Amino acid sequence: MTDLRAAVRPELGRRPGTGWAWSGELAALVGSVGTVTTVALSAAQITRLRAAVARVAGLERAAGHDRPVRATLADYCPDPLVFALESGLPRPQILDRVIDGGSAWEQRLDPGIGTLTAVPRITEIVERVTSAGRRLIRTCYETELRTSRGALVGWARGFSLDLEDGDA
Amino acid sequence: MSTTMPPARLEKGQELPTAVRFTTTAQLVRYAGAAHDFSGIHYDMEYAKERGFPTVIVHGFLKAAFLSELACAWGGAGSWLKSFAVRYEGIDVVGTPIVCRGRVTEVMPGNDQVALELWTERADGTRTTRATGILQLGEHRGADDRAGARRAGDHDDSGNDNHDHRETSD
Amino acid sequence: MNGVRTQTLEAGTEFEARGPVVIGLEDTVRWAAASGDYTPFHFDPAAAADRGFRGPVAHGPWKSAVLRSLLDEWLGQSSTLVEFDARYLSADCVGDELTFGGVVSSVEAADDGSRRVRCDLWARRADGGQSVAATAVVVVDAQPGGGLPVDRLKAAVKLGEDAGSFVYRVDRNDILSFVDAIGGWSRADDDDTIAPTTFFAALDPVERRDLDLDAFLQRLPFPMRGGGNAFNEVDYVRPIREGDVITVTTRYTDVYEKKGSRGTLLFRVRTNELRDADGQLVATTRCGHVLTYDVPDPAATGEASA
Repeated sequence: MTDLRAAVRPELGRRPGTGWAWSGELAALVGSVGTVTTVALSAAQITRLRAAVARVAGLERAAGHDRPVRATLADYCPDPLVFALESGLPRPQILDRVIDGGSAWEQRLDPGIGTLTAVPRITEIVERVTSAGRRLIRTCYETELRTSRGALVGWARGFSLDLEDGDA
Repeated sequence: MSTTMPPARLEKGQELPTAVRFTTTAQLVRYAGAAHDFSGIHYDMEYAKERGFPTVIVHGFLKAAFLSELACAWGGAGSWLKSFAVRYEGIDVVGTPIVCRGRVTEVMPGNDQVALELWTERADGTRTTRATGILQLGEHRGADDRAGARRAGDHDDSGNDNHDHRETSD
Repeated sequence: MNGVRTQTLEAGTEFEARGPVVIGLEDTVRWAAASGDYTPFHFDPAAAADRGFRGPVAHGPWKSAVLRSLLDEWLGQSSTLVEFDARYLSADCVGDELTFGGVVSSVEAADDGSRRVRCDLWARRADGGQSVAATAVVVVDAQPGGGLPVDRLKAAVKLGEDAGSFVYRVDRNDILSFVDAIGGWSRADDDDTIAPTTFFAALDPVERRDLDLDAFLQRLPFPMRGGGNAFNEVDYVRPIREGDVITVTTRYTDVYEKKGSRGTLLFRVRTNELRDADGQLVATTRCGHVLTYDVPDPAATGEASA
């Protein structure tokens, strides 16, 4: 990852709404496409995902829980940010620390249990100043998932936040 | 197989010449385009299976066309079906032979219309489509056949290797 | 834990909260393995301390997964999650307590009997602060045992009334490509190319999807099979010929279901009137279409939320 620190010009001010000058390199990242891969989901994998939350969700009891397992898009891509980064997409790290800011899934078709094709992209990079006056850069990683016949199943989105610590 | 002249004699019970048709997926796609019927059961194998069919199936309407063309070919130049009713009773799978048969059920007074019964069969004889129609016979135009039945074969399509849906009983 | 009776879903319906629950190391380790995120500070206390955390940090997506599991439990069997959007507002560590909850913010009815339920969901810390803020949209299917929506279908297709008129121009090329596709031969009356008998199939507004009043039949919560014409009929006043500008008016005449050995059959019969540019009738056609559905027997499902 190139050092973008030098490209950011803080002297342009901290007023919300104006942000600071975008480095051309940040803007150029929007639209980047990561390595296209296929993701295979198995019933065993769904079981592992459910088991990882069963205790906290209080769903450990087996009795009365023998509903047929239905896969959702989130089962194919449970961590959209990590998935996108592992596909080779860059992660802006100009400020003080990076965190996972959120996850979203949008499903148009029942994906079933099988294999999907995943195309990860950086679709948006937004620079903001929080109400506490700290700068942040929010990068949206959107992975489009399709069936093996090309039908659109939906999107998994991960949001990376590059944050400035307090009292800079 | 087709004639430009109407049949020499007409009588109840008379059988029409049999035609055997084959279909290919390419043809089904061409039919889908010409008829604006884009249901995936006629060209998308996996979708057809999801809908419970063994594979891509032939449009019922296409089989109806095979039967109506059988009638008009037999009727000769200028003949046309004034009414035509077809029921689809079984599926036909792409690539399998579709045997087209017909029979005269009634000859109208004046000899200018006949009632026909037409059907398609699979190779094993199972009837998959049944139709009836009233065929209006064309006026006799004599040997010079001006209002010709111009066969698709008369076009210069000798280079078209994908015209693989010709009747075989020529 | 009790679910929520699906009939009582409306804005303001609160789901039964879950917690407080203490996050355990086993939870983050299991999630690391299931999700593939093995970043050490999620399960290694030393790595977490290096980053300034008081303990291994729970994965944000794990918290989303907990909420999704709870939502699935709250809304019952016939529901599909179509949207889920979560923001991770604070880091929670092994040993911290979390409480999970949610509320219905709106319910919209769809034309196939299903409902689109929008919810706000959250995870809260022991100090009351919000750790995760999420929204979700779940489609809750129509109740099984309701059968096929025949009355809704009759209304949708305006049974017995003209459902729509569409104008199609018949060019020579339309006829010739149709003739080519059926392996026929072109014929002419004087110099005009005449269309083959079944050419009216190409002028059907429903087949062409110009008229699509019952698309919701594709989205019923019952498996659908087949889907094709049962019969076609045509009565001609005169053959269709090139140059005709045909106005096709469609009217649905019959809609009914019939329970058969292989499923429930839904029949729709429509007639088309074809008139030329002078308003003269050219042909009348009738088409019967059949779809097969697997509709469960209401007695057999024993839905708990009845």
